[in-house]
Order: sequence, then structure tokens, then C-alpha cells
Amino acid sequence: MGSAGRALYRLLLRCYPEAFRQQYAREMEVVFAKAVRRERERRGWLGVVAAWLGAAFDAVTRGAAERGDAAVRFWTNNRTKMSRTLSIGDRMMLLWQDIRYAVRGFLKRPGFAVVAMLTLAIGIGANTAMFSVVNGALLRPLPYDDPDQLALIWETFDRAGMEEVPFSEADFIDYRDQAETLSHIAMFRRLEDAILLGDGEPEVLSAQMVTPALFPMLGASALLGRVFDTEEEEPGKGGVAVLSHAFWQERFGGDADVVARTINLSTRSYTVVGVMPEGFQFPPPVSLGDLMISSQPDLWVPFTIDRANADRGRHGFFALGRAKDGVDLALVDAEMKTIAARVAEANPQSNTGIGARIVPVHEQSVAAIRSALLVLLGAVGCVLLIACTNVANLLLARAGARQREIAVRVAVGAGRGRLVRQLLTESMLMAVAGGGIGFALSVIGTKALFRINPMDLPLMFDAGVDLRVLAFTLGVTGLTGLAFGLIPALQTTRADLQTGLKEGSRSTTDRGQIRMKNLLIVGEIALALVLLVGAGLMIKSFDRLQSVDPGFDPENVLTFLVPLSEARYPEPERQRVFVDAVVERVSGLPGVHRVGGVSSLPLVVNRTGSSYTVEGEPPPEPGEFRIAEFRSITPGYFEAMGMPLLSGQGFSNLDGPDGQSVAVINETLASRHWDGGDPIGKRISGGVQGDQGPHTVVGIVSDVRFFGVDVPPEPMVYRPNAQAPNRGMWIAVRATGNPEALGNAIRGAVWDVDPNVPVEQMETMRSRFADSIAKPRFTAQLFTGFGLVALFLAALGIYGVMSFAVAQQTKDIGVRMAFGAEPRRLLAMVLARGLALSGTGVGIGLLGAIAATRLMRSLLYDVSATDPGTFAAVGTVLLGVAALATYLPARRATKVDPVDALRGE
Amino acid sequence: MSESAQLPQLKPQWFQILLALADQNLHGYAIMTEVLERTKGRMRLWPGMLYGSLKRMAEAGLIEEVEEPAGAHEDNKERRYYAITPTGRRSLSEEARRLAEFVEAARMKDVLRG
Repeated sequence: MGSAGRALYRLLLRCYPEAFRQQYAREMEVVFAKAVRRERERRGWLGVVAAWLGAAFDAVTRGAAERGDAAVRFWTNNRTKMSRTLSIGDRMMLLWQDIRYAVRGFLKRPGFAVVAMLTLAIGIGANTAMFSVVNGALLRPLPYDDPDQLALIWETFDRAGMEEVPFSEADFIDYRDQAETLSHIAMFRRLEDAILLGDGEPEVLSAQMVTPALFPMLGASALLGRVFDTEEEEPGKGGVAVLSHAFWQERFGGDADVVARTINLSTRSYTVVGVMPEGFQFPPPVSLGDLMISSQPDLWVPFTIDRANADRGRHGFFALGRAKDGVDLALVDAEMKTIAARVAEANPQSNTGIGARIVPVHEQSVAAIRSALLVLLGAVGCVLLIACTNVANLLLARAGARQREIAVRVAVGAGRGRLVRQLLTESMLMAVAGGGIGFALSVIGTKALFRINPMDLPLMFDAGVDLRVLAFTLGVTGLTGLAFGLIPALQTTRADLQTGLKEGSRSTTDRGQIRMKNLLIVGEIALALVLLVGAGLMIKSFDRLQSVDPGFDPENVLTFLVPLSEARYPEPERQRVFVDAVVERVSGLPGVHRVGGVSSLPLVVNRTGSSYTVEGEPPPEPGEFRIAEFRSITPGYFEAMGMPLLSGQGFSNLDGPDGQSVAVINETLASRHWDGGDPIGKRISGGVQGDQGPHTVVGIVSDVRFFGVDVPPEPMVYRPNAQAPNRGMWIAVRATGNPEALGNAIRGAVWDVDPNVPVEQMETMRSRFADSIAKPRFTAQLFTGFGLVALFLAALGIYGVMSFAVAQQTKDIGVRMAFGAEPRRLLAMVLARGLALSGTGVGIGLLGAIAATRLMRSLLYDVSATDPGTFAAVGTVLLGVAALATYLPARRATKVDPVDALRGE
Repeated sequence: MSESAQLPQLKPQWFQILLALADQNLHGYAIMTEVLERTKGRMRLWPGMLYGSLKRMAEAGLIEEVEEPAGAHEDNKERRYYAITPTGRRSLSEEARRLAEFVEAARMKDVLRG
């Protein structure tokens, strides 16, 4: 075994505790050298490799075992020593002494203490804030009785791969009649046209229709009055309402006499029968997608179930079930699938290929955000680790200065255990102070975070500090204190008594210390790199999202909703006349370029897919669904939205109710059926009930990202509103200048046509676009913030280590300069050392990043988790910053005055 | 209860080390080669395992360090020699007897021939 092999084996031997090494290292080296020779003679280089692998494994496993042993012995010895001699009171006294000693130390060097505490405060605070979010969003149980037994029940269109299809009314009735694993099952959906009539401007309320079983299922009872009776779901029996606490307070001033009063909605009037207690919320904040716009309703009304006329084809209702006590949800899932099969058998025409599945409510509510939150929590954990590393480095640097102090204390009889405890008290104190500041920061930060709630987190209450968050902070603080305190404490107390007492001497621990510092810095840089790569990927992904062409021109477009109540606009003809009048009025306003109406606007998620058929193509088999989105528009819509017509023409005022039934289709639909051919003049059927065509295709319009910027376009069919009138239209107004200035004029124009129609959700398309990518933007911003903190801390760390190294080598450098070494070479020498460290860190970090970024794959849009550009760029930036942080101390090295340096000893 | 219950439980590598020391005092490397050759390469005691075991066995009173035998000093390197203690010998024979019983049982059931 050559000298290199010997050195390598000595490195391996460092796995063992020092006492063990002192006793056996030399012999082990000899034994290993002989073993290697023997293997080489017998099996050649293969044997050598095997011997090394075996030795490495041996060193790691046995070393850990020996160290564990040594630690146990150390603590038992000390404990028994302590308990033999000291009472509890004495020990408290000692602790108090340690604390006072530590505080005095901090006060002597306030700069050091402040930097360390603030670093920790940032780390702990960020972690606490992030954890409160995770706690509020992922960990808290939903505020219902026994929430684990609650599950949403979905139908599935297996052949279309659709896994969360809402129920049809008739299917729901069948399930309710047949389910035996459920103690309750209820159906709900948003009540459309909940326009409150009365004095003042018309207003749209948020109301939910629920079957009466819902309240008992959740274990909820009314604060005032009652909830619904079972028979109130029967046709003709409804007409009652239960108010939310907030709505009751706001609208009725918390008047206890509200029960039995009447609320007039545009559809009908309701008698108030009850008020729910504060904090009751239904539906839970789950991502039910489309039909669920608000999860904080003002009131609930009974869902009327009409057994005789229940529809099996219209899937628009949500079902929630509670498993019977002791029944596993898996069993419920199995039963639902069985029922689905039975229903399909009884109704092959409508239900072939329709299955069922359940999703636990909690699962449903966190599914969409879980990965983003966990990745962020991981990132913020990295920041804390980096902060710990930095403080550990600071402590190590200080340890050098404290060596004499320690040596003196050893000389007067302090045991190592006592010293370690003293030093750990110091770091714990620092951690607690940092934790305290961090906790305060996080309380403020979390409040701000929840007020914005940019990720639409499903927070049931304001998810602030609770016991769990407190426990988390305490735990993190304790671990932090240990993490950054233990290594320096052990390292420092190893100080050699003899050399420590000698004036200005350099002890053997210096080398160990430098090695430890190097190790820490390499780890720190690696961590920072992983974080920065994560941030880089998020930024790139967000940039890709932002530059997606949505298919329309979002600039200078103001949009709003005019919902028409069924009571006042029962006939399609009146609806059409109203919309035409609004479009005409608004078009006449100054500053307005083009105006168009549409039944549902892009990025205002509202899925209403209907099946369609193409003339000349065989009809789809049962169970196979061809689904397109149908939209009714007025003639100016494409121009108002800036959607280019690719072929054919749009609609005109000539496409009236009596004209030929026409349609414009989007690119996706055109290429699906007429790839390369010309669809103009062909006919397709489908759409809402009573308007199923066939419609003649007259034009092709560009694809629009309808359901989200990151959702690929789906087949769409546009129909003229004059032929397929829709109650309640979105109006898009393209302005010549700033569209927001038109708001009041537009409201006036609408109310000129009908003062009882509310103007709702007025917003520019630009801001709808921005809102639709708010979540990824926020994730990217947070990540970038963490990454920058990490970069800053890492730079600080390198700077500290290199400064320390230069200071230590002052004499060395002075000698070299005295012998005529060029400053340039000295600069290069120091720089090279710094860069070797950072280079190692970057290398390890790149490998770590490849492993870590796979976890964020689901958060990335159009960017690979191992995007080489990002990796290269981040590596370069980090190396650049490291070079800068090294350069400053390196330059100081060249300024060393040889005479001073030599005299300084 | 048999006597063996009071003796320290023997790990396989401890048994082999005691066996190596049964008839001679040896230093670490010699123990390693003896075990390796006697077990036909089936038990290799890596340095960490070897010295970790020696340390613990000494603490358990199974072996003890002894003076280097005169004339063994071949290459100027001082080495620790180990000898088996009476306790160690007792444990060794107890364990050997236990194993022999197993082998006997196996022989009775005629499993060794296959």
C-alpha cells in the first residue's frame, strides 16, 4: 500500500472515536496493509478494490458503533458523577451560572451575538411561518364531526379518463336508495341566479342548494331556529333558507328576530328558518373545480329532488357521503363501484362506461396544493440548515479566540463534560433568542400571508398559531441549537491544554478546526445551490407560463357578468333582446372600441361540456364520449377579445333565430375531425338542450386557453346568442385606452337597460390572466426569496472562512513576501483555495439538485426538472459570488506587511 | 438453567477469535489470517470489526492482552498480543458443545449426507 493508500485509510479511520484510534489505529493500518497485499497477490486488482470497499464499509459501520458506545459512556459517566455529587438545586445553580456566563460573553461581543441571532431568527421565523401555512392547510382536520368518515362521491367516465364527474340527479337518487355502507349521503350545488332583490343596487348572493341530510351528516345544528326537515327536499315544499352567521350579522345586524322573515331572490322568495353558528362553513374548501365558485355561502336552501322527472344525463351535482361508524372508506368505494355497475346495467343508454369512486374530503381539499407546500417547506428547511452552518462557522472562528479561556478553565479543573455543557448553554441561549425573534416575525409574516392567501389555500379558519405550531417552533429551536452548537463545542473543548496556554501558539486543533470549517462551507454551498436551482426552475417555469399565448389579446379589455334572473327573463327572446341592448348601449360609450357577449369567459373556470356528433361520422359507441364546450356569443365577441378568425367568417346580425343554424369551431376541434381538410359547410350536432342542431360550420377561430393558462385547449363550438340565447352573459369591452376608466359609464349603460340587473365581477382580462397564474408566481417568488437568503448566507460563510484562513496564515504570508513572493501569486493561491472549496460545494450541490428537483416536477410547466440551462446558470452564479467573497480576503493577504506580520507573533 | 446462561453470549466472530486463541497467543493480524484460512475465506475480520471485537472481548473478560513473546519481534513494530482467559475458555467450550449438539441433532436426522 503506497503512501496515498495509507493516507486514504487514515481518513477512513477518522470514522472511529479518538480514544479508539489512539489505541488501535496503527495496528489497524498494518493489518489492512497486509490484507491488501494478500488480496493483490491472490486476486489482482479486483481483490484490491474489494478490500477497499470492505474496509470502507467496515470503517463506517464499526466507527458509528464505536462512537455510539463512546457517547453513551461519556454521558453515563458524567451523569453518575453529577448525580453523585450534586443536588437538583445545585444543578439549577450551575445552569444559572452557565446562562449568566453566556450572557456576559454575548455582551462582551455584541456584534457576534446579534449577527448569529438574526441569522437564526430568519431561519426559524421562515420555518415557523411556512409550517403554520402547512398546518392550517394540510394538517388541521375539517371542522365537522368525525371528518375522516366523510368522502366526496364522484362518477367517472372511464373511457374518457375523467375521474371526477359530478352526479346526475337520477344517479344520485339510485345511489342514495342503494348505499348500505353510508349513514348519510347528501347532494349539493351552487344556486344560480341568487340575485337579491330589494332596495339599492341589485346584488348576487352566494347560495348553496343542499339536500336536508347534509346538516345532520356534518353534525351541524343551527344557532338560531332550525336546519332543514327531510321533507323539504320534496317538490313544492322548499322555500326556506338557513343563513350563514356572517350574512346574518352583515345584512340583519345579528337581529334575533330574523327567523320567519322573508328573503326575496330573483328566482323565488325564501322564509328564513335558521342561522348557522359562526365558523360553520359548507362546502369545505375543496377543489371541486367548476361549479363551485364560492365556498363561503351567504345562505343555504333545500335541494328539491323530483323523483318523477329526475334527469340522468345532466351531470352537475356534488355528492358527499358519511361512512357508517366503523366502516372503512375502501369498503364504501367498493360499494359505490358496485352500485355504479348496477345503475349502468339498468340504464345502458346513458350509463354504460360510467363508474364511481370516492375521495376523502380532506384528501380532496389538499390535493392541489400539497406538493407545492411540501416543496416550499423543504426549501425553507434548507435555509435553516444553511443558517445553522453559518452560525456554527462563526462559533468555530470564535473558538479559536477562546482557546486560552478554555485551557485556563481546564487547568483549574473543569471537566470536558462541564465545558461542553457550558458551550451548549451558550448556543441554546442563542437559538432561543433567535427562535423568539423568529417566532414574532413569523406571526406577523403568517398574518400577512393569510390576508393575501395567494395560493387560494383551503384554510378553514385563519390558520394562525396553535399548539402544534408552537411545538414545532420549540422543536426546531432546540434542534437548531444542538445542530450549530455541538460541533464547535466538541471541537473547542478538545483544545490541547499545553499549547492552549502558551502565548500566541497555534494548537493542533487549528487544523481540525479548519477542516471542519471547510466541510461546513462545502455543505453550505451545496445546499444553497440546491435551493437556487429550485428557484431557477420555478422562475423559468413561471416565465414559460407567463409567455403562453392565451389565444386572445388581454390588453385593454374589461369584462363583467350580467346575470339575468329566471323570474324577470323567462323567455329566450327577452334575454336576447336584453343582451343586444346592453351591447349596443355600451358600444355607444366614448372610448369603447368593440363589445361582445359570451355565455362563459375564458379563465373564469366553468366547464359545461356537452357531447356532439359530426355529420357523416359514425356516432360514438355507448360509453365513449365526444365532448366539446359550447358557447353562445354575440357577433362582436371575437373582435372584442382579439381572437383571430383563421378561416371562414364570424357571426353577423343576420344569424338570427330564424336563420340557418350556424357555428364557429376552434382549431382543436377542426384538426380533430378535419385534419388538413376544410370543415366549412360541414355540420355538427350537439349543445344545450333544445339547441342541438345540426349546426353548419361557417368559420374557424383560434384556440383559447379556456380553463387555465397551463391547460391545453379543448374542442369548442361557438354559437350565435341569437340562436342559442343564454341567461346571464359575460360582456367583453375592448377599449381604445385604459379600460378601467369605463367602469361607471358601463354600469350606467347596463342599468339604463334594466336597473334590476346586477353588474358583477368587473375585471380586466389582463388581471384575470395574472390571477390565473398567481399561484405559480407566488411559489416562484417565495422560492426565489429563500434562494437569495441562501446565497447571501453562503457568501457570508465563504467570506468568513477565507478571512479566518488568511488571518491565520498572516505570518506564513509575511514570510513568503519577505522572500519575494509576488502579491499576484499570493492572491492566486488564496483564490484557488476558496474556489476549490466552492467548486466542491457546487459539484455536490449539482448532484443533490438532480435528486431533489425531481420532487418539484409536478410544479413545473414546460421545464424539465433537470433543465441543463438552469443548472449551468445557477452553478456559474454561485461560483461567481463565491469568487467575489473569496477575493476580498485574498486581496487582504497581498496587503500584508512582511515586517508587521513577522513582528506580530 | 445451564451454566451457559451466565456466560456472555458469543457472537460468531467472537467464537472464531476465541478458537484462534485456544492454542496460542496471537496478535491482530495473525488472528485475522488464522480465522480467514480456517474458515476457508468465509469469515473475514475487517480491521474495525477485529479490533472492535478484541476491545469488547477484553472488556468482557474473555481475552487479555499479554506480553509479546520473546523473539517474535520481527519488524520493529510493537504489537499487542492476546491470550484467552479462563472465562474465555469456558465460554468457548460451552459454545462449541452447543454447536456440537446441533450438529449431532442434524446427523441424527440424516441431513449431513445430502
